[in-house]
Amino acid sequence: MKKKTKLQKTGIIKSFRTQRQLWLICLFALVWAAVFCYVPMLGNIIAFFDYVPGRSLFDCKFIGLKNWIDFFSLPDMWRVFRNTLVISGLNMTIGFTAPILFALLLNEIHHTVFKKAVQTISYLPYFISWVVVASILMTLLGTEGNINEILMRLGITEQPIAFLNEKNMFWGILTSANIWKDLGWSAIIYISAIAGVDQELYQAGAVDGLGRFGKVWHITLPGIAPTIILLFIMNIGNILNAGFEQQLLIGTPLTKEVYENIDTYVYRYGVQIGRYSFATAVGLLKSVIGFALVVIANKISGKVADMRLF
Amino acid sequence: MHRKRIAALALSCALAFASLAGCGSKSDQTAAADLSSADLQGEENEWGWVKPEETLVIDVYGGQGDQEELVADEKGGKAVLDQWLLDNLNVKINWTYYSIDMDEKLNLMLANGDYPAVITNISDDMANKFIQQGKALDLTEALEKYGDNITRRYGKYLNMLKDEDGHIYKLAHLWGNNPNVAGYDFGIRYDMWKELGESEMYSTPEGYYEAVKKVLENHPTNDSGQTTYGFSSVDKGQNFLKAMLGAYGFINEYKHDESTGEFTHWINTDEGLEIAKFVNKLWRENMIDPDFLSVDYETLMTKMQNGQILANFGTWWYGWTGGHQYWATQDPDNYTVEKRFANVSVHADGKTMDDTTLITNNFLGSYRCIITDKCKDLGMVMRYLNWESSELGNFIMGWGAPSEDNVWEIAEDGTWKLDDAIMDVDTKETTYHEVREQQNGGGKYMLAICGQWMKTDDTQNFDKIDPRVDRVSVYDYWPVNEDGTFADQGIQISWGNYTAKPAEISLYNVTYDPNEEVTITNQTIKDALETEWARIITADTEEACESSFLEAREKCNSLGLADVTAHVKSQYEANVAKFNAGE
Repeated sequence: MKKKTKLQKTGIIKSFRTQRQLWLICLFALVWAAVFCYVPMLGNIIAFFDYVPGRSLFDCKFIGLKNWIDFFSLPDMWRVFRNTLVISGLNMTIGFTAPILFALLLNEIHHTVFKKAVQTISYLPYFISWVVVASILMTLLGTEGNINEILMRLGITEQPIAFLNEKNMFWGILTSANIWKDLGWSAIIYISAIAGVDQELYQAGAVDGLGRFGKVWHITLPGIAPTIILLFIMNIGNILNAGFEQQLLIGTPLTKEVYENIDTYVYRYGVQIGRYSFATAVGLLKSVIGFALVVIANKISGKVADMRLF
Repeated sequence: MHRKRIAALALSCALAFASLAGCGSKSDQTAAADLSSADLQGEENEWGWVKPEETLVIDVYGGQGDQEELVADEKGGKAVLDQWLLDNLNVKINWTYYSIDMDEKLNLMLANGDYPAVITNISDDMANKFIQQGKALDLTEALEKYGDNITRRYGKYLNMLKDEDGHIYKLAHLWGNNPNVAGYDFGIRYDMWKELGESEMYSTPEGYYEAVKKVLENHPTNDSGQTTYGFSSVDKGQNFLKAMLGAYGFINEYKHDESTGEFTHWINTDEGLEIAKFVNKLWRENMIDPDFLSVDYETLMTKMQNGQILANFGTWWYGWTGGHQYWATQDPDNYTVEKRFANVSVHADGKTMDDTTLITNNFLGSYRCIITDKCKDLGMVMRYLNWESSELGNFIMGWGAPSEDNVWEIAEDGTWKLDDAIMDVDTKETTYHEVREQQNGGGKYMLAICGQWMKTDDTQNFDKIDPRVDRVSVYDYWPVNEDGTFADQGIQISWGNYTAKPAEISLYNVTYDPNEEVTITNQTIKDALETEWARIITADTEEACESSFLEAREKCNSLGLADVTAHVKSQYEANVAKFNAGE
């Protein structure tokens, strides 16, 4: 065993030596990651203290797990958790599969100019801020908005519907907005994965009698499966990140019951009123759960599909 | 191997703790500062200032602002003011603004110890944080020596800034009395109200409801054919609540019974239920914009400007920016002086206008100024703050230095004479605000001065101000006739029916420590009430409204409203005790 470790060490040192030019290229990225991703993790320690900015940590009271106890004792805690899981769940199911479908459909378009145009247009919403998206939604979904006008002209409804005040519709509206905004951008990686599928497989499939759907099902999808699994595992780590910008911008007091999630809660009760320890504690909790889920998903994926992230 | 691991772990922990411990250090309350450098010899100049030989340099963090605007202003009004301060007072002020939230920035400053000598526009809670950590200087002695204008003009209110030991570590910024300007109002399109032929303007919420209803009946759609509404909101209907609470005499959402000393939150009162039912009636009768929960400021302005919203219920100046100020400049051909929103004050049934709290007078205001332990010359900085608080200093910092190029100058008889051109309110934007912008950056560069309306009373003397105006603040002025009425016909229409008087609420200031349980409870209740209020007022029937109101009451009480109320009461009592200290 000891021998093996020594060998491994020798291997690592050797690889450093032989690949020193590559390591040099990576140096800045590594330093960046260390400074901005790893060093700040030390700050998580304030989650265990009653931290007051400006005061040395040694002068702050150690409170152990109190912030987490407070978090789980909040009166609306379970509603907040439910909303977080539902919003993230919708994003991870419908929101995750939509770009795959879009990439597959785009791949079926043979008119190059049209294909490129659709692809470019689909990216654009990604660069629009949520403030603007919220404004567009209000214009579309307000009582004097286009949707109501169409519904009333078609005689589907007599009175305009205040869509943004309807809590039953909020999750749908939010998921649709998320998909519209991120569809094109998220599809890029699948489009490039599809481009990497061996063209000879399609020719062989055609010889074997596969139609368009058959080629997608038997060749394209298996070809991009590693990419899909990899991204899915990474997305699982974000299951408790339901976002707060869009909720705060699109939500109204009447939909708060369904939009309030961990992020919006922490924003108001942690950041806005200056309880940094509390905000850090919840952030740490989310990271730990997210990390654990990624590890579990990675193991399951390794066993079931023989594909792993690490 | 095992030992090495333990050593590595210990080293990592030590590194982590050292890094974090180094983030901030506690300093003891600052020792008494040396004030001797401020004992200047020499006579005061025409501006009431003894010019120091060495330039007094003050570094200031002024809050959240647009840095690009500041840089641009370095060549504009700020440059003019800076030069004047340098030439006449030998004072140089280096301003810093950051685009991020001020509290966030101040917390970072506290954590890394990188903050300037003076911080202004700071909240009371944040000022207390600096004080508690010994980062703010004790101003008591400097105030006694060099702060005669400040102590004179604050009067007894200075007591409220003292800590338990009688020391002062913070000053107010934009403080002062608020004599008779508009607050919350119940506005209506005046031209449309006149069409009704009513002999008298309404003075109760019910009268307001009747008037707006008739206006809507006469104007069911605007020129573009869109359905008209009486009211909308940019704060999810909170404006309706605040204005109504003002008409009922609530202070900061509480009813205060002075005879018993009891405070009662509006949700626990019968008046609260009456208010809820009233607003719900407006909703049920389609008088409120159905999109009011998601309307932003720009949308509201558009709706008011295009005649879709015909009344305004809450913040008075929305009726100006969304009304005559827009029509007069953007559509002058169709504008008449009566085409405007009249700002009207109302009182609840059974109350008088004197009982209302539509306008409030909060002498110390919401902003504070502290001098930090980075300041090397407390005495001189205090001298400067004291000059700012002199009547002349106050006016110069608000309006720019007197000169022919400015909107005011000092006449031979000593009168602070205003330019005749600014008497015309219609051209105020160009004749007054623009000129002032060019002279002092629009009054942004003030440290700790009176920002309210300037009136002569037993603590201050503004008798030198041109008598053709009697309402002057560092930001604005209103010309008046000899009989005291507004000289401008439009202003007379706008404010002619606003008779509420400012209610004194300085003693009702409440602070919340972020680490106290009551702060969380208060925030939880505020959040719950935002949702509940929307639910209550949008109920389909009066019964449902009442039922929602009672549910909300129960919910708030179960969340700990009694604790918050007790906190409000105790803070009020502490304020009263402080205010009256030494009597």
